Amino acid sequence: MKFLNHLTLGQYIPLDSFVHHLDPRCKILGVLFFMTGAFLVQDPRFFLFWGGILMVCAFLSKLSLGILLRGARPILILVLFTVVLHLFFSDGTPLWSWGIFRITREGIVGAARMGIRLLLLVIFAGYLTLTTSPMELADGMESLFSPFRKFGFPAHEMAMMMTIALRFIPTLLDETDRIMKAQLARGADLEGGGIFRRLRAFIPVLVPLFLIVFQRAEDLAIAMDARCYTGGKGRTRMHPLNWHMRDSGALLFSFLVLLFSLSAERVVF
Amino acid sequence: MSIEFSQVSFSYHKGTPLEKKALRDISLTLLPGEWKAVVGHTGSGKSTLAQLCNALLLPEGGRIEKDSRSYAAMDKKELRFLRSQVGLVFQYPEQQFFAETVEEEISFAPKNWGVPPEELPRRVAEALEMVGFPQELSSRSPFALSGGQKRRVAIASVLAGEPEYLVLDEPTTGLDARGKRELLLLLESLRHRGMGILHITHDLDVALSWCDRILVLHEGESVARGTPREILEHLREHPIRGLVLPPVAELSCILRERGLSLLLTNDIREILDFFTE
Amino acid sequence: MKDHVVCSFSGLSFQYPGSDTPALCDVTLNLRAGEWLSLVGSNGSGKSTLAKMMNALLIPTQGHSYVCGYDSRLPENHRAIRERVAMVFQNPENQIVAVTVEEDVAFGPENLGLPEESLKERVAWAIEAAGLQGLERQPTYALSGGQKQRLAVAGALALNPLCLVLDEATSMVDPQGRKDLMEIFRRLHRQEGMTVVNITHRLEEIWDSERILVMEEGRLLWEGTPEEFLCAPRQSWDLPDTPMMELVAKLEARGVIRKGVFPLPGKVADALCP
Repeated sequence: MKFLNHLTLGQYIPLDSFVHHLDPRCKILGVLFFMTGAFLVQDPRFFLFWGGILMVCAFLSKLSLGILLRGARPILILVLFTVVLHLFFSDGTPLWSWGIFRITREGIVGAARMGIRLLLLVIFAGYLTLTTSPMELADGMESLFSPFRKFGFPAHEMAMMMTIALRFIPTLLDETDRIMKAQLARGADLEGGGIFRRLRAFIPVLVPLFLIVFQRAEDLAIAMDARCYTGGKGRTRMHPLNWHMRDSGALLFSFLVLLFSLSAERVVF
Repeated sequence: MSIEFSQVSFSYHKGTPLEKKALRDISLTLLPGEWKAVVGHTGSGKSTLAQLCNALLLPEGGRIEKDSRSYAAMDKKELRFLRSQVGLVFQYPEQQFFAETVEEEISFAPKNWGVPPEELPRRVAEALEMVGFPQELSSRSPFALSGGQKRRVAIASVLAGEPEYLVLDEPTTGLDARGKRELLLLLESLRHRGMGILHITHDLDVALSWCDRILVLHEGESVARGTPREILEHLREHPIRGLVLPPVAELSCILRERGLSLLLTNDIREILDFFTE
Repeated sequence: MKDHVVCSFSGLSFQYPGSDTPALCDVTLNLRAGEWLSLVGSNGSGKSTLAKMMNALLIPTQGHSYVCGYDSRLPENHRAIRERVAMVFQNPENQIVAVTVEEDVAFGPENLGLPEESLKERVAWAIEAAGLQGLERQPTYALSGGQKQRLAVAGALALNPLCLVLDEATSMVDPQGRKDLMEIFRRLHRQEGMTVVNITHRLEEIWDSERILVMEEGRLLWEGTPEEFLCAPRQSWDLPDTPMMELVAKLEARGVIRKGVFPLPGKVADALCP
């Protein structure tokens, strides 16, 4: 269980790079533009263009593609699975077949397209979380959603919940491990049996966890009250978000990439 | 009849950049009727040791044996039986409660070990008697008890498996002076019944006052072992950061430094006897 | 400053909703600025309830309660009260809200709406006062129990309070962590003139205080100095003596040490009659 700790928190690698210093709002929006553009990829040959964008990202963030892909291994397995499905089960003119499996020309193209899209999505999401600390992400989201406060959207509360949840993930993982071990020490069988039996066997793990979490929520609320927390109004930040020219530049760049990918594909191919 | 650790080592996250050696070449023997303490500050590998005792973790180096049978050689069935013979009580054990009644909570372990349903009430009653918990309260919710009572029920829930040995990880934390004393008296009564007790703690006061033998861990290695008096002598020469001498023991050290020829001790009676001579 | 009263409670009573016994019964107390008060009693004696009155986390059902001149029964005063009386709770884990040390210490002053510069100063000062220098960027989950509790202390100090209330703050911490914490409180009391209220059931901790209050079943049973505590009729209380206290009493009885010696190893050794 402990290895999961460095998947969630260790995702952020503090470095001194251009991308690291960008305002999180710029990065969130920029990544959204990139991802939208990536998802509109029609022709797999367009990967050259996207490859170039990725090289720019890697250079500007001082994080090679390798580091990113290593951290995203479980997701990449999913991507691979989807690509393989596409490859072997699409319709069209068959080039090879064996039983229910068949590879078609359309299948290859479709699989390549799907693979590139998903890969780009994962990579851009990864660059966001690798270059932005959890607190920055929460602050960025809060700021981006704050115009919606007029309509009752709880932007600050959402950001607060995000940070607190992130703060407690490793703790909860440790506690889950501890409780599982305590119940195993009392002979619980958490592995064998069908789905229903397994779920019932986990009750002695889930009930204590729930209780810990509820007690924690209560204690934390009191502790926050004691430190004068009254919601988002009037709160200042030790590291406030400051928008700079470079953020406008980076955002403009990502928007242009989106526009280009929307139009260029039709023109070039 | 014993549990034997021979040169046991254990690392977390082996092969990753986070690799951490929690225990290194630890050897120890636990006999029935013996109350042995393993003392160390947090991070010295104590919890790892606890989980190795009942094969929740397996050593990467060295060997652990019960009655000369190595844990590594045991199959799944044997390991299950092992866990019923070596009871493990975690820190804040009341956090593992999930049942609606005390009776149900205590029946959990024996039920898992395959004890037939007719036998369960007897096991529950005996376990409650061993920890001094009133039988009338066995239909109460375990969550509606006082701190000290909860602790006792948690220990009873492990005792219901009728283990030969009991390993406890910081059993007295969170209890007030009265609760702590009651718990230690309970452990003493268990020892008199022939149970082998491995008491893992950072509380040197308890180890010195109640246990037969002490093993001191520091950063995963064993740095001292012996009787309470021997350990005190050792700590006086080689103080360990993170291990705080209890006040009475500290006083005996200070008096010794002032030239008084008394034996180092954490027992106030010994100090009083010294002065009445 | 010594004449300034931090808390003024008179005839304080409190009952938790749904409970049939009062948690506090007719408690009168004046907490003076700069003093170190120990509040002792067994579990259920009401000491935690009384502590929460000091920073308006609870307000009395009967009686008057003024903290730094503010009536704690008025919600609009609560912020002012909590800026002046900060609290550290028992469970180190359940007080920390942020992912890094620095961010958690900043939580309090951020809530107060302080400008960026003073925020940074406050946080730096609080981190140093709690002995956490160098750990600013550390993730909070990786701290030891003692460090987490020191983080909670730093978070309380960042409010720049004049009074620190410790609600069993040492009971879930290991002996070394407890020692470190007590040292921090002593330093704050001595050097900054911090008013300290230590709620504890550990009698080992009461000897630093100037005044000791004993509670039982919601009532104030006894009040006095540590010297007076040693002569007080403790057998009727639900508070067992520490082994050291027992030893000192017996050594005094046998004339081995002078009367009125504190149960601290250094003091006892010094008090040996020749």
